[in-house]
Amino acid sequence: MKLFQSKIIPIIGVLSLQSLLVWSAEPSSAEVKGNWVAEQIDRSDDGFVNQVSQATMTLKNKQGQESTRSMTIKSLEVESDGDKSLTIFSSPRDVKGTAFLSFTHALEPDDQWLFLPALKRVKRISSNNKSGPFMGSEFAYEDISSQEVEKYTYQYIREEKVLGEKGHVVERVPVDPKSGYTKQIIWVDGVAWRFGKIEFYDRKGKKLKSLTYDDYNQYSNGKWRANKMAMINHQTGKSTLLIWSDIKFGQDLTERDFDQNALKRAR
Amino acid sequence: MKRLPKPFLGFLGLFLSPLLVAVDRGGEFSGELSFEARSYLERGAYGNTGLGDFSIILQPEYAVAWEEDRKVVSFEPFIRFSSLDDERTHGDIRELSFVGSWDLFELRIGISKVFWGVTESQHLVDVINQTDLVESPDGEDKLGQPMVNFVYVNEYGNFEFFILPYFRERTFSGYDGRFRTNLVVDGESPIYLHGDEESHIDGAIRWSHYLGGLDWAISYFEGTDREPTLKANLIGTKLVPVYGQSKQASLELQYVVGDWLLKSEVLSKDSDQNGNYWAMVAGFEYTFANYYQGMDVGVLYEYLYDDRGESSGSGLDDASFVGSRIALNDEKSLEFLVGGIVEHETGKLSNAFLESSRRINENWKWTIEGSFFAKPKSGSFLEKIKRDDYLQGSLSYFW
Repeated sequence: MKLFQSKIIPIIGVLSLQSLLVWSAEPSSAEVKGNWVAEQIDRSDDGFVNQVSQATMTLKNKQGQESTRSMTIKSLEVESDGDKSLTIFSSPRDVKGTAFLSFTHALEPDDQWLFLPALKRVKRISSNNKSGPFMGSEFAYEDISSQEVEKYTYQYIREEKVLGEKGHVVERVPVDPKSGYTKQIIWVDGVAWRFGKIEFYDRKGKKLKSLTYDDYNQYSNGKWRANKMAMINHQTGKSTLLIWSDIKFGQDLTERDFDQNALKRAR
Repeated sequence: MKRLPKPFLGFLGLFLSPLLVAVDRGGEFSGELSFEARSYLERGAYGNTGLGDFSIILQPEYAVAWEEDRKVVSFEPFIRFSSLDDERTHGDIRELSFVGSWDLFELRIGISKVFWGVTESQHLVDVINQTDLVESPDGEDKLGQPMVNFVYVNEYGNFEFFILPYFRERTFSGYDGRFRTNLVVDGESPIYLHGDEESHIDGAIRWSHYLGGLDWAISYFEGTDREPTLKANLIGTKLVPVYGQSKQASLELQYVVGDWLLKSEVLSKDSDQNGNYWAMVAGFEYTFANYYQGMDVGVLYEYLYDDRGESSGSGLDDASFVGSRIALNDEKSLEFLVGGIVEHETGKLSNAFLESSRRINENWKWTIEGSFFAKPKSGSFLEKIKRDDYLQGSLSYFW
């Protein structure tokens, strides 16, 4: 009985809430279905509690010259709000010890602080610059920040096979006018709700980038994570390969490991 | 080269044991080695006629962290060899500390650095660490300060307590050095107005918190004034720093709204030598984010005020700072920073600076920097060092 309740009731709850609150007018079926996909993706990641991983970005320019960025990323699930995350850079070596603390919110602007190790200074920064490049890479800040359902509106496009499973193709439009995109097309599988691909369209509506997810692993808590994320910029010919390693869940982390004191201690 | 004084070394000894524990755990060795060439555009006015200063700077760091970085021991010595100025050739222990975090509190103990403040043109309220003035005339470099820093953390923010058991004397240029007036400051034989001299135990408390886009901090400090007055000795051959006692309360405010950062620092200070006065810095930073192909263009304005007026000696008692920061956000992190200060009384630019840096590869980076004095107010300190304009290039290796 308990199992029955926990599985079915929330789904009904979510659907009825949407139809009651989100749209006053009768929503189109493409909107409802698109939103339903987004909810499923979001719910599939519920209960990850926290995650610690190493990330390495390899940036490649048009001439094929490479440079790398390495960092440790810690994230904490926060109930009824966006996630908290702490990113600590270890390379290039001149930015070693620089750390970035972010509290994501669904609709309010995110709270962000930067720690500058040379001055031992914690600096509050504006989260408005979401469309700018993250560490000179092809990933924008908004591409790597926590993906809350409320940050987009959705339109279902079609069914398509994704990552070998029956999947969905959905168009999502960022709510924030500061976003660098007019829309994104997402490919997601309909079983584990994993991203297969995302296409990004710039402010002029032209295709800008595509992000391909690869090499998924399932962890002991049931969560799936891709080890490889390849971002290609179609307009500049540049690319960034993001490789995740040493992914760990359920670490001994609390909110105190995601505050300004922790930012100063971060290594 | 200056020696570290004895009580200071004793204090160091106290922290050698955690360091040994740390070494046993195995940590990370990193650091920075820089080669710096500075060229002054004119010969100095006070016999300090050397035009070039070639420096080598080494700042290694050994750090051990455990329990998800809740406990960190770090050691960071610093040394500079300067070809121009014997006093600029100096060493320091920037960091030799243990920091621990527990559920509701944090403890930092040892030699460390603490930054207070939000503005860019002046760090008015930043009082814990002494300025390592020979490093740079902008005063941003600091000497390691022995401290016990206790932080109580709850839903109302951070409540901090500082005990600062040993005072660090400011560094000053020697005879061949720049940024000095006609008499050399003998930084090694200061006068203290309090009988406890450098062993006076200073203290501070601070409350900091944030709500939405607003960050604030209220602090109180009591102890040896970090800023000495300079007094000529009896025979008028040199200047001697005089350190008095001081009390100061300060407020920092920063509000983030859209692309705007609104900032303000207010200081109210009562010192043995300067009496009661207040000063402030207030302004904004606006960023044209992702202005062109990922490039950020920031515009900064800050108003500087000091209640002492001209007697503050800084020439910044009623002035405006205007600056711009341009970051290309490319793979080499090319950046430019330019700024200047206009004094309202004269309506003229008193000084200006520029800085640019770019990464070469994973480990190397170059930086160029320039500092220029234009038309500082007559009688101000800046006017006396007017001939010390310089251009500097440096190449740094990070590991």
